[in-house]
Amino acid sequence: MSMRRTFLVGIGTAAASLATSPLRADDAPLPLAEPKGPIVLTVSGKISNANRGKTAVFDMPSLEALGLTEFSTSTPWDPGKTQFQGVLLDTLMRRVGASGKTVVAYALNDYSAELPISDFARYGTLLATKMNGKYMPVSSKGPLFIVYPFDSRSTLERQTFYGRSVWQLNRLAIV
Amino acid sequence: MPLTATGKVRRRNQAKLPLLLILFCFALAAGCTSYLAIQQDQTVHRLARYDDAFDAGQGAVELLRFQDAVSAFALGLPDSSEDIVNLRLEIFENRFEILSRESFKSFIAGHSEIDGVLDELSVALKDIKVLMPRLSEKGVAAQIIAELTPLDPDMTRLSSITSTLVGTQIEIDQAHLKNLHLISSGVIFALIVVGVLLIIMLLRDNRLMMEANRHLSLLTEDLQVAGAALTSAHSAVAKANEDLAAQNAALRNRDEALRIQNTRFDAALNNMSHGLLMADRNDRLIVSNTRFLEMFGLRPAEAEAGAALEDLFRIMGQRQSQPRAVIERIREQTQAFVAQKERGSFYAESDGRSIQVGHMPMAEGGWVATYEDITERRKVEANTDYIAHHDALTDLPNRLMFTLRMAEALRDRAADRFFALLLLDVDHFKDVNDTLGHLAGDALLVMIARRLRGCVRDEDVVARLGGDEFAILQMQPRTRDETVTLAHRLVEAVGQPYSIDGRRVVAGVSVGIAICNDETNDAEQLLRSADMALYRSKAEGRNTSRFFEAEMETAVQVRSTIAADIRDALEQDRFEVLYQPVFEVATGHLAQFEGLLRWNHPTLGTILPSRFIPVAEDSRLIIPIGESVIRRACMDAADWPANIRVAVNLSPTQFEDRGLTKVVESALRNAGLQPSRLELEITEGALLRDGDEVRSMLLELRALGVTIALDDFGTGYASLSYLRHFPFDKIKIDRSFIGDLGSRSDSIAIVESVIKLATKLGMATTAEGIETAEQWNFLSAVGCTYVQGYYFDRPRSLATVQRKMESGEYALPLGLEPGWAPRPAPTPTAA
Repeated sequence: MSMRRTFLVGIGTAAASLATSPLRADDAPLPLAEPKGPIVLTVSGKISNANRGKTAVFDMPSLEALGLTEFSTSTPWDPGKTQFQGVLLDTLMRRVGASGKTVVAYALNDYSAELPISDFARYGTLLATKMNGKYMPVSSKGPLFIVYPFDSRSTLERQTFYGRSVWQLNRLAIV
Repeated sequence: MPLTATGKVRRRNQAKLPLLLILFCFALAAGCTSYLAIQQDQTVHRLARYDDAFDAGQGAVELLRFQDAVSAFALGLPDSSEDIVNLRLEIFENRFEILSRESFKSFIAGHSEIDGVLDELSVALKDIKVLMPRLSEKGVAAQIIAELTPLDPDMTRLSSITSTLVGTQIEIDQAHLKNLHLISSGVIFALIVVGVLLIIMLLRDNRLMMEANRHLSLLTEDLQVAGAALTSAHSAVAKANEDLAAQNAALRNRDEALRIQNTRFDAALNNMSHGLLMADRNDRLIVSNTRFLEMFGLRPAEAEAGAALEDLFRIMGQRQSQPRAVIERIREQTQAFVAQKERGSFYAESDGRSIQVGHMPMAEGGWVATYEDITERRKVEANTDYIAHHDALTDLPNRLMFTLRMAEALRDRAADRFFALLLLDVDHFKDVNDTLGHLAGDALLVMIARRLRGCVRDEDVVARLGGDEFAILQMQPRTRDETVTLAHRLVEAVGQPYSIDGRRVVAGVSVGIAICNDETNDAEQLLRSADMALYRSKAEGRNTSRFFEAEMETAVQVRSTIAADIRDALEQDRFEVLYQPVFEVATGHLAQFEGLLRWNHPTLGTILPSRFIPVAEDSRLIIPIGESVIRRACMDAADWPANIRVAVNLSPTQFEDRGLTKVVESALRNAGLQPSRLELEITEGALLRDGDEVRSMLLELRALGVTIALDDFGTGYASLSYLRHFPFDKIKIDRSFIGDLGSRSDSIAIVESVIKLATKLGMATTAEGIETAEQWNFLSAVGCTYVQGYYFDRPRSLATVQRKMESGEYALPLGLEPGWAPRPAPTPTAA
């Protein structure tokens, strides 16, 4: 009799602890920080998380605050290996709540390229802020540079991906 | 078959070469394909690689945009700014940097028209950079534009030439790809050809393989059969090996066993009490033992294996160990056994030496013999045999010998012939023994034996069966009368007086005779018949002979019937005790009763003691009968007045029972009767048996307080000596003397003297069987103490005597009175 009572109490306690444990909120992105310095990136188009009108704007610190990743790879533009550091475009897309399939990247020199969003998660495409440990000036592909880790697979060593590697980037439009 | 196999091998070797070639072709093709694939890949890669032409084109555009920005700034256009100029410059600088990389430089190398373009650009950019901080100053923008203007055609050239170079490169690569494609096609075709060849080769080879396979399977089968045969052969060998090992072990064990057995055999052989000799078929010695050598005085060297037996026996004959005749007998008998190949045993005896020889032929020829010196045993045997069959005292054959001789006689008797069995019993031999001593008795027996021997023929047998019993077998009487004659002669011969230690002794003999003829020829039956005849002979006065007659058998049967009836009577309590009064002469009072046994037989009526007592004595039934009488009498007397005593008769046989005293004691105690009121009457017969034994028993009884009377006094033959041996309390004078009182004067004298003697010895007297007043008068006159008889009263039942005692009817007529007339005496029916 006392055994059964103890058992029932045990079950009751477990049920109570389940009921009181907090639910994990997954897809409610935190509001984006208001940039304080010069804007380096503007994201427009189909996004759900904006901080300036319908766009999301970032200065360098707020962009880097999204989380930094780095890798080294060879590129057609420099001999040997170049080290890149920056924010994964996949992270950025999620932070701004991108819902489209394609991103159009615009550069300062008015060059633009269309990138499928699926590239980001599949290849780990980086929005580089630093090259070989240094922020990049416009004269050296700055301020932002979309880089694929070309060495990781031979399929990336194609004109298609070289074309998608947009330097002097300052704007992204989700379409 | 080996030839065929070699042929196949060669053919297959021949087939191998094209196959190898084809294989080589395949490898080559594979290598080519691989190489082509790499080539193609590289070419495609090159085609798909970075677009240098685009860079160069962009360079021209960006240069122009920078110029535009500077111009707009110089002109003060609304959308211009120093920042935009800087941005455009930086963008161009970036382009320049990209175009300055080595890969691009090497791509455009060799074209003189654009050789210095990149260097010019570099110089111009350095100059412009110097100028840029002072852009807003007047003339600086123009100066910058001036710097840039000469570069435009250069950049355009660079762009166009690069485009051309890229196009050419693409053409080369495409042609290269085409070639590669052609080569690939060729290689593929070659591969198909080689493949077809291979298939053909394979098909052909397959057929060969099939054939080879078939041969191979045949070969395999053969091999399997051979293998199986080998396996079984192997296991057979293993099995044989095991068997061999087992056999070996068994042999070793047997060897060991044999060795042990040999040792034991030697020990056994030399420790035998018998001599042993073993010889082969050629009469040569195989083995002998130590005892054999000792027995015949041989030295070991003379009896070695292989010695000739002829020599051996010769040496044995010369030695003095055994008489020569013994050796000779052994030799002859051994030769006889050997010749007949028989087994057997024989005695070799001479000069009192005896050797027993056991001879046995052996299966493989030859023989073995054992020798035992039985000299001593033979002597003992001879002596023992004689002792066993003869009576030591008389040297006559004993009962055993007699039984054997009678069995022989019965066996050898021819039909129609007869022989006679005579049993003899010396009359009154016990008296001689008792009066003259055992030595005299023995001497008498020896003399009787000699006389008996003298009466018969040599072929007849005289034997002593034991004690005073003798037996004679008259072997071949021609007639019954011859036997009668012999019997008479025997009685007469034994009846002659003897002289023992100077004393004259007379003895008699009773003879019982049975004839063995065709009707009667059973030993047991003969002995019983002769015994019955002897019994009759003794009963009829002794010193005579009787032939067995059938009526004797009947008498014996009657006796055995009576014995059986006595047993029943004991069980059924059919014995009655009657009481006859005994009066004291001096007072005339009733003094006691004598208890007398009466048997009321269910069918035969009252049976007199004289008829059944002898049977009861023979069968010893008298002991339980006597005991019951004592107990009854004691119980009865206990009810009587204290001065009335009771007397009981004891049979001599009762004294053979050592418990008699105990019986009397317990009867008195049980009845609560004063011992002094019991009187025991014994006859001389009791004293005849074993005087000393009976005397001690009588003393024991007297010690109880019981009185002892000597019954039937005067009928015996040495009565007076008994009176001296034992102090009786009373003497009962036999009725025969009383009965003769009126007719024989000597009876008067005897009775008178007995009474006087008893008086002198302090003993009382009782006169029995008084039937007349004369007898009574006489006895009272001569001083007899007690009287008893029909004249006073006959024995009566307990009830009657009790009634008579109570009514005072027992009174003694005192003295003779005038007119006294004796009562009519009843018919005397009891003692």
